[in-house]
Amino acid sequence: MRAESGKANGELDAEAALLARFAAGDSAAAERLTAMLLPGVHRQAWRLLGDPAEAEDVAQEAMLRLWRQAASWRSGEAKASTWLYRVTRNLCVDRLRRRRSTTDIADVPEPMDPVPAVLDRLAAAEENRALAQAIGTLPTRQRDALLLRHFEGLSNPDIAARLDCSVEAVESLLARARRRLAADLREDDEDCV
Amino acid sequence: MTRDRDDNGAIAPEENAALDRALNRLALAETALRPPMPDDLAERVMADARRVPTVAQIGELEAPAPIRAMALRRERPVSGKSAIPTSGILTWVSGAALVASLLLGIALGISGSLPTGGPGALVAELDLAEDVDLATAETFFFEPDAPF
Repeated sequence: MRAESGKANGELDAEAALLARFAAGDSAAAERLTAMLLPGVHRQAWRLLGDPAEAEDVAQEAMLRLWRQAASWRSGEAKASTWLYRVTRNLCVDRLRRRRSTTDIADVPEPMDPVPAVLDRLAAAEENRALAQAIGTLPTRQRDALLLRHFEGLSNPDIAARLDCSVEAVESLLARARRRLAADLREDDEDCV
Repeated sequence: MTRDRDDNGAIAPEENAALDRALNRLALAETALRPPMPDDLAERVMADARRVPTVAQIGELEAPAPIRAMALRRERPVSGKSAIPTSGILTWVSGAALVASLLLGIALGISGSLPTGGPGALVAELDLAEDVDLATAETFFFEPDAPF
């Protein structure tokens, strides 16, 4: 656990150091940060929006906000990847709201809790349907932790950094998510019998 | 397999294994659906990065006009003197010296104890510390908010 925590702190320092170098005019630092962070931002945006063009726009906008933030970045407060995760999520929520506002269903509540659009596409295949739908009904934090774990392959300390919570909280979120999924799938099987 | 920290309502081992297999299958399906990141996205992101001002540039943009003018003078010397590499702190110290010189010049000019007064005294002072010519100093003196 200590080694994992040390790794997370090292990454925090590395990202902060690269941001400081970028703010001082070092374009190589920007290249390194882009290589480190952009793919994850792009994946997250695509997962939430389900649209490749919109995912690109959001990823570019999120990174631009990081560049603008670099000069006033306060080292030691948060990882750039944690900050980007939140910014990307908010940008996606804004787009999902805009999508809904262009439809005729004005009386439908706004999606404060966006279900990743990719789950709908995954549910299109019969063998994935029950699980994808069950994941879509999980509370947001549980779903985020589960997707970061199984879709992104992140370790618990990395998920904790991304969600800005303790490793113990991540373990609890994952455990509750899995129990709920298992119960949903069990119920689904019983319905099929 | 994910460590289950909560003991309440723990999943049976075979059910847990089945859930892991289903999640792995779903993750593979997600990977297959996911479009590759376009090659030019990183280039666009880097182009944005190049357009964002550095800390030094932000400092100069936000500095008062005389200091901004001095920064411009360092970038584009017109009097044939070499540009003076100045750190941010030195720039502000020089700015403070400039203001002090300005006030001193006004005071002496008003009291009549310095025949040339105003810009002349300022230039004499600045010439020792900064690469500022008479035209710039006069602009500082008479139009401190003038665009440079």
